Amino acid sequence: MNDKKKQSLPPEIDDVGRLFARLGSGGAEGYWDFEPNRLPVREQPVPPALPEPVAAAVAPTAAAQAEAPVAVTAPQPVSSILATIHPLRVEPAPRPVASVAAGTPLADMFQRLLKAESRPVAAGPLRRMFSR
Amino acid sequence: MPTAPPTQHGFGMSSFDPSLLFRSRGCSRQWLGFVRAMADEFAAELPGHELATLMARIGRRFAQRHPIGECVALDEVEAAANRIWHDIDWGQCRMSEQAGNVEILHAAAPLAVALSGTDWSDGFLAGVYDGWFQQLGMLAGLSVAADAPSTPDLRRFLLGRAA
Repeated sequence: MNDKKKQSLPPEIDDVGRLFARLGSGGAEGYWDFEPNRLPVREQPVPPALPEPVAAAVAPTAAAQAEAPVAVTAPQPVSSILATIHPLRVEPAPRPVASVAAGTPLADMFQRLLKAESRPVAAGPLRRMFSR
Repeated sequence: MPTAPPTQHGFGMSSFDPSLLFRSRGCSRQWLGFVRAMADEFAAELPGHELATLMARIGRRFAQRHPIGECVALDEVEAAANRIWHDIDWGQCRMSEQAGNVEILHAAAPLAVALSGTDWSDGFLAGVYDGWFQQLGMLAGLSVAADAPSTPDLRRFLLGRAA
């Protein structure tokens, strides 16, 4: 009964129609008819570009097919992985040395080692690799 | 006459038998395959000295996460280090001052088992000890470096003047 009353009103005085018009939508008149095939199609926003998915090497099982398709992103190239590791392959900058209480046996030992005449140990972590 | 079996942890015992410690502990099977696979992957791409440096950096980071605490003598450093190694089941160390350097012997390190004593794997322990001595005020010009071990079970490091 309400629908008949509503349909009898001119679209331009309908609040919803005015709202559609204010929003610039083409549904200002179309919303009167609720048949699904006459409803305006909403434009889908374009998703941002994604990496090209790589198809799974294994044939999907029936259970897997029933589920939503899973896209596997391409593995990161080895070169970029090594580029990430590269800063870790060099000796870090020397850190500020913690102060040691003077006169302790440990402080005295450090002084003895520094003044020692013996052959110095290699600066790198593997002395023997460089001395071969 | 049979010898006495090693104590459960080895820490604090009077005798120092690296081989018994090593054989009784080894490396956790849970991580063995993973560590070896990761090492293979790294070794396939990086030369040995870069791997050693990478391991040393990891070692210094370990030292930051496991601070050695306050020590005023070498025997206290050894005891503090062994407490840390004991807590994580990483073997046992002994430190002794010699002419011109401090010898650090480390027994039963799981990494030595997992990586079969590869040279570059010693970079980790070298980095740890270097980081600990830095925390204790090691003077500039000194560093810890790996040295040739007398046996694969016993890793050897020297604290002394850097080249």
